[in-house]
Amino acid sequence: MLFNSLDFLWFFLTVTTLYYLVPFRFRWLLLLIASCLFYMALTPIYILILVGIIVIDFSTALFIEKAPQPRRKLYLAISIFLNLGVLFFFKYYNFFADNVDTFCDAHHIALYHFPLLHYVLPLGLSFHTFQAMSYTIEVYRGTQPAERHPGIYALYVMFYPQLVAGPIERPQNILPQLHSKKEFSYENLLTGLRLMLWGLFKKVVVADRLSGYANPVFDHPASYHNLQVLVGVLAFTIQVYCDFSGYTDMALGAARCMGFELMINFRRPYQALNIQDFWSRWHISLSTWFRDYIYIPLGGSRVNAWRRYFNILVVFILSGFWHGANWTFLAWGAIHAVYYFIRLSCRSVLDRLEGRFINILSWFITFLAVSLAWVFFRADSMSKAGLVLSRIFYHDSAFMTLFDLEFFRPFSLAISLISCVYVFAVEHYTDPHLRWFDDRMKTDIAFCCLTLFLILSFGVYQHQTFIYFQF
Amino acid sequence: MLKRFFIQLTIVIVVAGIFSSLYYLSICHGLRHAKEGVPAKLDYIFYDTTKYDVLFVGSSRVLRNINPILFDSISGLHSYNAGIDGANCTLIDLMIRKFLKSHTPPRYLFINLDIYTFEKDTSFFFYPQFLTYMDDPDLQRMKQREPNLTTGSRYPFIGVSYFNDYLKEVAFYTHFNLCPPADSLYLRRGFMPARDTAYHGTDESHPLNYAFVPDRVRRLDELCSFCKQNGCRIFFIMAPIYRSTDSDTGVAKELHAQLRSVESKYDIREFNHYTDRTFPKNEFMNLSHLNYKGADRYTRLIADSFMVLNGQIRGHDLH
Repeated sequence: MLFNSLDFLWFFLTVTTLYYLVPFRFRWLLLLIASCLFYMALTPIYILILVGIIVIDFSTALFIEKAPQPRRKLYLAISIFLNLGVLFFFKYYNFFADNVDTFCDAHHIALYHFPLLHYVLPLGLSFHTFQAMSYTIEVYRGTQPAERHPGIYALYVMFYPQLVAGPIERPQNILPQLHSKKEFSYENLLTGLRLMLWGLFKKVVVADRLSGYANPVFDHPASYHNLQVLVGVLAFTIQVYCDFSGYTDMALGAARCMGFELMINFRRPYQALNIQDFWSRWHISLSTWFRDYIYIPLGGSRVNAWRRYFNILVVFILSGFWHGANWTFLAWGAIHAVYYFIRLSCRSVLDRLEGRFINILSWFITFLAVSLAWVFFRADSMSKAGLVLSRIFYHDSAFMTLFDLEFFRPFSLAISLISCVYVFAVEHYTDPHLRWFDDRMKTDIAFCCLTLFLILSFGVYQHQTFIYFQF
Repeated sequence: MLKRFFIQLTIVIVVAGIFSSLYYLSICHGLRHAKEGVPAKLDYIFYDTTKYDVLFVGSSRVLRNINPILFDSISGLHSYNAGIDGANCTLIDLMIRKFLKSHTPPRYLFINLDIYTFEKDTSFFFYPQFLTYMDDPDLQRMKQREPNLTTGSRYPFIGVSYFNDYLKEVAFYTHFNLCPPADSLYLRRGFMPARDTAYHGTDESHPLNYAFVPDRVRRLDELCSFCKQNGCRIFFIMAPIYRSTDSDTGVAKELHAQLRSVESKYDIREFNHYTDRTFPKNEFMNLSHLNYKGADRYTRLIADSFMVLNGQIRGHDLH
């Protein structure tokens, strides 16, 4: 079920209303049933994978808590192995099989031929696997007691607002909230609906509109001249942010309407002044997951410089691989690792530079670097990514035919630009939760009126799925 | 907080609803007065009264393939291209009835038919362009006859979301008088040529997924009867498609067999170029549309065949 569909509107209204109507002791059950229905709306059979993950992690966490030290590690290893096994089987097996076969064919090595599996990737598999793993790791570390209520634990993994595209929650944040009674609050409803409205705007007015520029360029890069390709790349840069943060805002809003506070996933990432700053603002729930469970256990920054670079490389490569089983995602991760190395190597010099001009220059370089890295993230293959990049720098005599082409219809372009400016202006002057509007009723009304009007009048209603659903 | 919540919710819904509705009405007004693109053409078909001898009706395979000015130069008649993108049986029916209502019936009526015409889906292709005509009694009658016809919502604040950027743009240009002074579509008499570029796609076969619904032929029968009553002589034309599209000739054969009875009943002649393989790749814009060069040749072929039928063979060679 897509957040930007009418089905979801009815689903959300029904679930939220029932949530406050049913007695507290049955609320977890209501949310669990709703979450199952939400997930099963797309591929019902895959609910069994979720059930499997829930059973594994719920039981291993109980064992971990009770067992003495050597066994605790064993149970944790079993839990992680099974979680990653599921992830590998559904997400990475075909990539592995294909590459092994290609390698063996190229080097004339007679090896077992791995058959390719033909199935649709379960929705949001990486999200709920990582969320489930964070629970067992935290129980192992002793920072989170094992959950005794299987229903509440199942809800921790399956809570519908963040089930398919995060934020990847931590047990310390969400489990206590699932246990506590939520009183109905108009304030939560108001702020939740406001966030949902804003998320919907970012998705249907900005992201889906910009996909009209990005998709054709990435599908057929050779058919477009350099300016069109550049616009397509920049369009995707903004599209991916508005698509993902739009989903997150709607998830946060839907959860808040029921009194739940989910973690913030974005803090104006495109205002970052360097790549380190960017990663502290982009997909925060994933980057902190890698920081807490991979980077710090590897030694973090408290090791020598080379080891630190190695740790960073591992984190970024894994981060890229988390997104998808394709060399393009690995390349995207590796490129960001290189950016990070450059930033760390030059930090002592760069931090000494100050001034408005330096800030603008830093912002511009960071934005450009991130945009170019997105090419690998979006392209279907490395060759296509290479083609897109080469088209940008390819000298084209038709460079100035901007408005002659159907690609740049002035009206659509104007609406796209205005809506982008609106997004960045609102986010610049407010906070990620849009709490800024709480004490400003008139401004809030004007903001909601304008946003709803723009959604109705300039939304692109093709029910395009969210980019991060595939992960 | 309760008070604020309800005040805010009410104001936001009402104000956004009012502004969206006003925008919807503004788009409708703009489209009804548009002088550009498909909206201008619809208004022309629906309400203009110019007399034509020949009318071409059908889908984009008429819109982009038939050049009325070229046809006129060969036949000496006065023709109009009433082709509309995605016109299926339902839309062809509506177009002809509307045209005959406002114009003097043409002497000759060329209806383009292909397997797409008789699809199961009766919805109008790109139905938002018809939203501005929702008050039209003929369209309403069509809706009653075809209960599954998708025409979008009539509630303005929802209806506004059906208009795409193209229609909004046309309306905007009309409001601010930004349309070209002499509308090129009007000068070309409804002909909207495809780009003069050759088709670059592969020659791989493209399976056709269109279901031919024989029941739709009955609708065509009624339409032909109506046209005959209005004194029109009917011709069926079938436009060429690129050879790789023709992977399912079975559907085409079935269509042909079904049309035979209608043709003999109303003495209709057929100019069938559906399987004409003389059109080279560089005369196509894509798999199913000719480019300007191909349209030129196809129009000549139709005009020549028409002249032969009328006993007015031209002095030079036909093909």
